[in-house]
Amino acid sequence: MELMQHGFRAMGSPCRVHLYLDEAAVGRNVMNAVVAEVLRLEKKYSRYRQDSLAAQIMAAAQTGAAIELDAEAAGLLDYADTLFRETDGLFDITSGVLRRVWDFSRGNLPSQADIDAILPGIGWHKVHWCNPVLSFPVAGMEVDFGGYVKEYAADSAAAVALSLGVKHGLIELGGDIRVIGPHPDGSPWKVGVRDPNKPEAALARLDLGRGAVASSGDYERAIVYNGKRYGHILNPHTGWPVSGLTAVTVVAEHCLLAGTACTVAMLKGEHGAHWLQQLGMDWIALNDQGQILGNLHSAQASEA
Amino acid sequence: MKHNNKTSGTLAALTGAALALPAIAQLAQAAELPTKSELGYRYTDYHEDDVDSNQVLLGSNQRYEIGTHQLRLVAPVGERFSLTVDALYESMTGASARAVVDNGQGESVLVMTGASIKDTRTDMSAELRHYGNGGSEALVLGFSREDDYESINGSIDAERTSVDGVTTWSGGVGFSHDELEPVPEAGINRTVAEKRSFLNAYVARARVHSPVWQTQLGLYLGWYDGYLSDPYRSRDIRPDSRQQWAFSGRSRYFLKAVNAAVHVDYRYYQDDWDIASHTLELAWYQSFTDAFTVSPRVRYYSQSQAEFYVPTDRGTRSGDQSSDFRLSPYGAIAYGLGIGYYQPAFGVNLYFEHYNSDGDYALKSVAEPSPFLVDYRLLTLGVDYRF
Repeated sequence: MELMQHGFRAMGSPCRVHLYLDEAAVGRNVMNAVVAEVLRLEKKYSRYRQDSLAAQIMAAAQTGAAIELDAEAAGLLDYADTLFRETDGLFDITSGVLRRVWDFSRGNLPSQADIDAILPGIGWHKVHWCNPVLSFPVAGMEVDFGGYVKEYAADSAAAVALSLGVKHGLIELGGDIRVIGPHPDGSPWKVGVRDPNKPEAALARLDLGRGAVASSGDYERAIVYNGKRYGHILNPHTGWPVSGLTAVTVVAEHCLLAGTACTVAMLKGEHGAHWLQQLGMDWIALNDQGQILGNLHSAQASEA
Repeated sequence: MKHNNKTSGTLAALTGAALALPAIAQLAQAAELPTKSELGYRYTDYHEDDVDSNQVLLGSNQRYEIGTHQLRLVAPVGERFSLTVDALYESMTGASARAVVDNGQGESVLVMTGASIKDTRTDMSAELRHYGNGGSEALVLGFSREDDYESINGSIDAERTSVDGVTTWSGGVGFSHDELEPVPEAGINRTVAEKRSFLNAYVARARVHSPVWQTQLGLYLGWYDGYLSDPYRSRDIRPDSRQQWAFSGRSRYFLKAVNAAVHVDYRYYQDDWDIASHTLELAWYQSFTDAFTVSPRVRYYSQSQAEFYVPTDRGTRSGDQSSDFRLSPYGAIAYGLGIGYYQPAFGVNLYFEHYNSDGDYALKSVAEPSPFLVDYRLLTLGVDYRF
């Protein structure tokens, strides 16, 4: 068995698939099928593509119409619905409209009036979701899968690999990782968690034989205005960037769970660490005072 | 506390919603399938302490010594099945009690068999398990053979886990049919051939309360029918049926801060021979690294006597009677220590236990326990290889 690796770009991130495969010829087909699954999900859920399901949903939302969804999209909305209810509305897939006033590629802050004008268009509870029909009583809203589809894609690509007989491998989509199975000798994959303050150093080194790890942070996209840093993770209730945590990494059975737990922890700000602890997750976080929190050993601790 | 419940419910709700997605359901199901074959071997050395020679009227004072070899192979079969084959070979030497008699001074003494008794037991079973729909179901068939005994047995069981992964129900029914042909002995009028059958059923519910706490509650029922006496005892007449039930509770609590797990197991048992028993076991599983664990354990047991238990055999008594120490009232304490070393491709484990039984250990005061309660020590060495 040979380790085959393939790097590509999808969902706005560098991706890499690592699979142990028996024969190169058959292996290429398996690799192609796994990569195709990621690209399929990108195409289906990207709001930037005219032909995507996301674009159809957006069209329905803008006119206040209804749309019937397939089982996969309905499952993803059910998941978002559960998350919305469990986090008292913090994880909200209608909050993407805030992009209209927050442009992180430019260094300007929006005014409170700009934000106030946007907020009435946010709120999953204002959308009518009755699986499989999604309808928009309020016109001009948005529903965006972008907050969690990459993590789901890691799980889904792993499921495709598994159904094609792959038992050892790893899917890596922009830092979110889903393990298919350990190396053929049973040893775990070594995964480093990046330290946002020292990009060359690892905050933690994890051994993963199964499950998934995902990270979230506001260190990549931010606006610095009058010396204050405004991260790109926005609170749907206030419309302003959250603060408290700089980076969070969570290990869970599925990448979807790990990724959304990271996002919710970031959204909860200074209460995020406590929430992860209560949830009983394996996690590590860096707060905005530079302290390392969480029950996953830091690289420094494990080397000591 | 309210916050606690809310967040642990959150994880269950999210897991449930995630598992409704086909890709994640497929991954979760695959995680439960055995993907590798595993070959395991155990050797157990079981040694009962000798009886005080002053208490033996006739025969040997050496009780059983048993050496057991066990071999297990677990192999995935196709995408949805696994096959488990268990083989056991046991050789036994030592003497067993034939009778408990009064020595004329009001003391009970044993009539033992000679030390030359040797017996072997061979036991084979095979389990075919099917995985799917959030659970598994299995069919098990087996047989067991000793010099004077043959048994065939079978069972079916099923297990289902709820979509959110929080609750697992399991249940099963089993049967066995045993035939005994006691070894004849000159001058002793012993039964030639006897039969008995056994039917049992269980149901259990396991629940994950939080990522660090799991419990299981179980109910067991058993029915014996046929010859249930000990043919080698001179006066051992037991009822020809026995109905049993038991309730069990287990708790597993993981202490993240010290990387250890606390196991608490309790079992209450009762049967229509009037025996009621309590078993409580506490174990501390300490992990030092991911690979190395040490687990000290302690077990307490107490039972009341069977209604027909007699401290000494009485030829004049009519009806059921037995002086078998296992039917006597008593209590027992066992101390054990397990050591395990696990790597992805192999594992080694060692377990030592010392068991001591006594009338004074029983929960209720005991008027006349058997003076021949057993004390033993056992040592098990196991190796597992995954490939």
